[in-house]
Amino acid sequence: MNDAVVRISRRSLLWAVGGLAAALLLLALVVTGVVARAADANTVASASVMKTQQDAAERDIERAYEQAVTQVHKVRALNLAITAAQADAITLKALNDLKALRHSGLVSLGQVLGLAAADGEATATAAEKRFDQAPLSAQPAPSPVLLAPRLYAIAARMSELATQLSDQATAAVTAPAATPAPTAAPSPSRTPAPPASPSGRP
Amino acid sequence: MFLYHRHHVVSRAIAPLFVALIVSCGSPGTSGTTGTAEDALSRGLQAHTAGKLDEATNAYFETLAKDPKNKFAFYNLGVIAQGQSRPVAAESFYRLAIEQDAKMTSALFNLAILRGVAGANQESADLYRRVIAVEPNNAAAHFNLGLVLRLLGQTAEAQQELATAQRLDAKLVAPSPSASPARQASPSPTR
Repeated sequence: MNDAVVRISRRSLLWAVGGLAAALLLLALVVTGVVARAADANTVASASVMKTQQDAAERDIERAYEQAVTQVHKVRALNLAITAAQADAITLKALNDLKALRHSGLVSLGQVLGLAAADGEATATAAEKRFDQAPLSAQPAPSPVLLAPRLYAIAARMSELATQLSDQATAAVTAPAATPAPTAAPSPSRTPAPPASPSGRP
Repeated sequence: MFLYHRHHVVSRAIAPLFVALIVSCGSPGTSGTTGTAEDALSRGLQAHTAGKLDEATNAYFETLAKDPKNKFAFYNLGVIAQGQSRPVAAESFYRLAIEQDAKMTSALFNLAILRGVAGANQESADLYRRVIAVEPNNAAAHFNLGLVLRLLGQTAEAQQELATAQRLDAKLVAPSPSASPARQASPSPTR
């Protein structure tokens, strides 16, 4: 009896196993996305893209600021129960807080964009001056820009805090007038106590 | 469950009131910033119903500039703020509306919701009672009052209010009381 035997040399077998292992490794790399990530080019935003992003983020911060300021002014113009001096004090504080908040937002923007502290401060101050001279409400709306996530986070937080500040001012300004405070807690007086019997009335 | 029911009732209650305001204000006035307070209010309502909230807000403030005691403008500013999840501002505007008209049930009702959400359940209950005093058949107010009273531990009165709500509006079914773990663990000996 002649059994058919396929003879494979040890060398061929090693080649085959090696090839199979290489194919499995390649498959694993493709499936896990390593190849795709390696093939992706690392892109760095150009100066013009960065400028567009910065401008758009600054506008978002300014928009939130202007909306809050407008609300504070409108509420101040209402017929209020509190005195004008009280209302002015609350309004002034709210406006100062909003200015500080805007400045802080613009400085944060500079930090995210990689500016040095002094440069960030100068950029923020310049932006404030620019917006104070030409408010966004007086300008045509520019085409919308999709902000980078870290810039968006700053703009969104600014909007949230500005709304909170203006709403707090609204609540304070529209609060009912304080009733006259009761006189100081009674202290033992040296004056004679009134008579126990009811005083006669005319 | 509790919040769901509350919101359910809120939305049901606000919608008809809003329509009522539109009707009460008559036909829309001229556009622009001129005209009477009523014109500005009508413009505000139009913008409000169209979802143009900034425009509506401007128009309501304009209304108040012309008629500083306009309760509808205050109320609608409150509705806008409440819709924008700004409870502090919403409360202020509702309180101003109520200052002008202590029996303005829509403002009382919405303020009651806000106070309840803020955890001021006793104040919330008082506000619902004020709504009911003006509108004894306001099913939503009875319903929400029942829920708030439950939270305050006034179970018997809560049941009464919820039953009244269901009698007035069969769709208002009270959610099952949230049983505390202790009650779940040991069944009550009474039937």
